[in-house]
Amino acid sequence: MKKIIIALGLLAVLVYLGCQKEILPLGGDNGKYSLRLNFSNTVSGAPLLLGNTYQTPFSEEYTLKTFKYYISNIRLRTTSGAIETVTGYYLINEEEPLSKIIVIPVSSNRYNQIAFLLGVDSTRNVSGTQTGALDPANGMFWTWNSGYIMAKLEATSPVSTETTNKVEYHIGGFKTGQNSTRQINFTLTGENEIAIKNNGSSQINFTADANTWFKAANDLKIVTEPVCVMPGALAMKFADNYATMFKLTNVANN
Amino acid sequence: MTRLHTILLLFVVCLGLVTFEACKKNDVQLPGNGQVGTPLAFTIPAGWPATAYNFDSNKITKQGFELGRKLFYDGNLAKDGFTSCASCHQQFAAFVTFDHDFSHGVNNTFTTRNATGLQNLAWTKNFMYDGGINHLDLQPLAPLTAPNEMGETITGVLQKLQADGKYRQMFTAAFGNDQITTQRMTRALSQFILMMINNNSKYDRVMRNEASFNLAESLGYKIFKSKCTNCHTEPLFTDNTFRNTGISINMNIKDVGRMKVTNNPLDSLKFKVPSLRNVEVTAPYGHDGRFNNLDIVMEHYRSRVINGPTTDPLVKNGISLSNFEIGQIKAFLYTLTDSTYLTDKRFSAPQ
Repeated sequence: MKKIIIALGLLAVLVYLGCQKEILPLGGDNGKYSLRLNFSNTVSGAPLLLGNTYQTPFSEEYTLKTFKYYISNIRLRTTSGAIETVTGYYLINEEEPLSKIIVIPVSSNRYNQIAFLLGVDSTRNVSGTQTGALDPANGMFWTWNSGYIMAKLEATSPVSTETTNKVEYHIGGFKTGQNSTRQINFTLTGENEIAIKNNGSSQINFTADANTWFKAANDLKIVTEPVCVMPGALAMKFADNYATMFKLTNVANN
Repeated sequence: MTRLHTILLLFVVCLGLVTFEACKKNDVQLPGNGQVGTPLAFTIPAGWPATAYNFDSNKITKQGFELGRKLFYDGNLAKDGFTSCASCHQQFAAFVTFDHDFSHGVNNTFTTRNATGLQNLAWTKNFMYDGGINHLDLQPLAPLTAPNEMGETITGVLQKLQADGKYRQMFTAAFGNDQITTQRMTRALSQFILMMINNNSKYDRVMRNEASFNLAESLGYKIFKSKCTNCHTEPLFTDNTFRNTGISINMNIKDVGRMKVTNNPLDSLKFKVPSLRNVEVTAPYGHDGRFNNLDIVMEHYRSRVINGPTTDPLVKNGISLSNFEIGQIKAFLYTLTDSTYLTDKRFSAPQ
């Protein structure tokens, strides 16, 4: 009797977990292996927690409210040099823990390179109303000037010159000269080479550092730039900064 | 019932709930988008160009069209439960707001642009006076969410639709199941809007050799072809470009037009060339409704064009127009009124 209950319980958990994976529209080869990308958001090395107060590299205090970004066009290179592409679109939203895990089925078990786009490619910006992660109802779409917000950081800061101390970065733009998507590449060699074991699932752990938005290629201070909510030169500066936000922590081959 | 049976029953219920909880966000759009229903023919009038809209992903069906029509006339979509698309787009005025420079949004607000007429939108690529919206399906999201129009959130609209049994039934009839998404809602609205073809004016009948212009109209057509047609190109009577017609900036609204979406100073004060179809019933004119009647528009082109840095070369020195010519042009413009379109029951509020 106990065994039955335990077995049933396990089955329920499995069904739950099984379905969780499908949150993500799957693309590419529906292969026999699976790869899991974990995104941990950080602020200069500390875990990012919404509601917490941090300091920018310019020692400006800010309290985080929202941190979201799109990941798409994932491409993997096998150790034999073949390129595998994944067609899904994923919205990493700090508010939803499950959104920070991307599970993709892959056809090979050995990879030494991963690349993805931070943002949404131009095709999906000009093809009408989309579904899933790209549904405009997710609040990552400009209705008055069609296009996706590739990444969003919202906070409050005592140094913001806005009346409500708002800090609002809705970074988007897909047209030539305003393209705020950024190509991210990682080489996976040595102990970071992906070698998925039989029926296993390797994990790639990334961190994304919110403080890079303020200081990387460009110095952007809250006191001078508390708001960026349209495509253009300023958005491009933020994009050049967040292009550096990802770090590869490690690969776990299970 | 044994204890085991009870446990099994409980388990099945729980498993169902768990599965539902875990899977409910996971619907993946099926290829061919699962559209069902009775196809409605969309016919391109003879001699008209190819449409800008791609029907492959959104085929028009009677059920989708009727759903779009209901959505268009439903004030419940707005925050105040009262302001519908049709509040500002009135059929008897070729879907502008009759006799208004600006329209009324929720909470006694005003829009900041003159409502444009809705017609022949299958041939339009970029929407709004500044061309900011790049697909017909995306267009409704702007007025639905603008605080000075319908003032809702997309999620709010979807929740209202999901709570309404009639809508669930109509979404099922149009799309195969009662899943109500932004994409389906906007595609249904597009189906309704796409069918709004206006090609039965006297002008159209003359072109089809079913009628003939009187003397004033035919003189007016000649003048029109020599002085207006570069921008107001037949048969749509717009070339869908953005131009500065030599206007001053509206100091209250400070609307820079196309530059608002391109950030390019060369686009300052450029606005979409409006179609002249049904121009007789769509006064006032201009992006901010500054021209009360056609005589004032003509006077603008004849004597009031400001030759600014972005003024269109075609009008920067004004257009020479005698009073006589203005009279003939107006006679011609009135032949662009399609009275069957203004009263077509298919586009009226559903009963």
